[in-house]
Amino acid sequence: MSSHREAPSISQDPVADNTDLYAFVSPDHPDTVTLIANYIPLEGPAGGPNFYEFGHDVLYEIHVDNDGDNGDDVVYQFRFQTTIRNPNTFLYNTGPITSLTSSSWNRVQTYSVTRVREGHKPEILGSGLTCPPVNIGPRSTPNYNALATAAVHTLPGGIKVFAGQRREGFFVDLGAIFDLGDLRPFQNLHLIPLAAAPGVDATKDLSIHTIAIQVPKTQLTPDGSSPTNVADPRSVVGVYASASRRKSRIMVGAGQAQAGPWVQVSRLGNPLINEVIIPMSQKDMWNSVDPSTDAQFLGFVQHPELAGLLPVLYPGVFPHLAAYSSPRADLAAILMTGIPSGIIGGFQNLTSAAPADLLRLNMAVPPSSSPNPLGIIGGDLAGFPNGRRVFDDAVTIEIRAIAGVTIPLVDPTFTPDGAAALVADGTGPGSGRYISHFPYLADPKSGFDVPAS
Amino acid sequence: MAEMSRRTLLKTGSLGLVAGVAALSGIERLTSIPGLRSADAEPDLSAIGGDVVAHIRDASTGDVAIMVGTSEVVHRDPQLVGRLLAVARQTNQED
Repeated sequence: MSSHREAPSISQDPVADNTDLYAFVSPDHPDTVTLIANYIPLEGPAGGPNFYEFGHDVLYEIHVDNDGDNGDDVVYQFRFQTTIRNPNTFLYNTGPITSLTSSSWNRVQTYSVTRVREGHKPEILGSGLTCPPVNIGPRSTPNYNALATAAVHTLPGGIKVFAGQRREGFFVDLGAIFDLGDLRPFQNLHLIPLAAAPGVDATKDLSIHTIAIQVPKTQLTPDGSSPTNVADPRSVVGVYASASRRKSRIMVGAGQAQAGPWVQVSRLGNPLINEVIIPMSQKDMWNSVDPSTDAQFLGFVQHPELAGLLPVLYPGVFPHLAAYSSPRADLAAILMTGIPSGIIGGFQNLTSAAPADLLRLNMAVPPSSSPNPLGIIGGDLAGFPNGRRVFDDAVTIEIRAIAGVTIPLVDPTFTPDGAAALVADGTGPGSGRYISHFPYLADPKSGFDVPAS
Repeated sequence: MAEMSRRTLLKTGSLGLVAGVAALSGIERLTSIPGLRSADAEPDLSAIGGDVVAHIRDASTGDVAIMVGTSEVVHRDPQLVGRLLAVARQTNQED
């Protein structure tokens, strides 16, 4: 999946597992950018009695590079606290939760938001901000939307923030893809064929925990300017999210003693990089290092394993791809440096010639009036890989890119295989998963409604 | 909390690793470390600001990483490391 359970170590630490990152110009407030970092993969809505929550011993961060050095210029840090209101009950709630201050809500999380700007002291933008409860069912959370809406907080400087459970926005046919790279609509062409079938959206009823922050663009540019010129390097930011734990943790009775600096255990810029580009033996290390060191992984991007597997798994379908042996400069640009000017008319999101897995957003590109989930390869410059919107079809975009559809951008002598522009897992952005306003991901389904997950 | 932290320092430092800390039983073992007086290891931990963990990074050089709060400093003290390793050896033999 995008980055759900994508590495051995982090798969055993779900609350710190960064699953998806989104960065886009807010369609309803185009003077702002919305940054969304999701954590905790594959939450079943009925996952009680100890429902999913953020880790109060985890440092969650969203990092922004705005000067092309692949380093942090603005970082938003999120720290959580958990409070048990009634120590004498085993219940998450002892009655309907009708507000964020409801006394029947027993296990409450609050959080702080701190901004760290290069050259400045850390600024606490907000504290004691309440998360909504999880969506349990009609008796416990009878008006869930009201609870979630109340958990959208306004911070100084025109910033909005939300942290809590949301419906999973990332769609994918997990069951097929992990079964030897099967794409159900094309599985009649697979090495081990079955009759072609529609894709199955494996995440459509699941939840994640979202940290979303909406920030005026002027707070992200290096000089406080408002980005209006697509060609201007100041219009482009590179973003990644991370989770960190304290360096030492000792079990002490029922609790833990922790000490030492924060150590990164998960990170995510572009979708699917650690998932399908980085070899399993290096995935944990990839999660632990800074994107500015990603030159060490460049070879895996230039020669992706999946590009070699596609012609094997789908015999005769990708002959041009099979014969292409040059380093994949297209993928290196899309994923590791940004796309320079002159490749795609009227567009660039280059941040640096030095490789780093950052999700790069040209903030001068306005939101699309008719968004295409295929983003740039669908002719929509406001979508992935120009940032990433919640409904962008990251799986199809990246499969097609790896299959060769983007090679002609940098190598006009290459003709993609006919299948390269058609392959997909057969899933799409279904109804009910998104909303048109902050935080853009819809309310999670309740455990009552999805009891089997 | 102060008592717990004092044990944390002793136990983890004595082994250089978090694993196996249960082998030591508490502050009474402190006086068994040759050359280390009780007063040396009973600072005011509340003033330090929380749990303290010591990790022997390199026994050959005497490098000990001292972690407190969100800070970490590497302290070179071959004699201290030698004493801690002596306790570790003793503990390992007792196990």
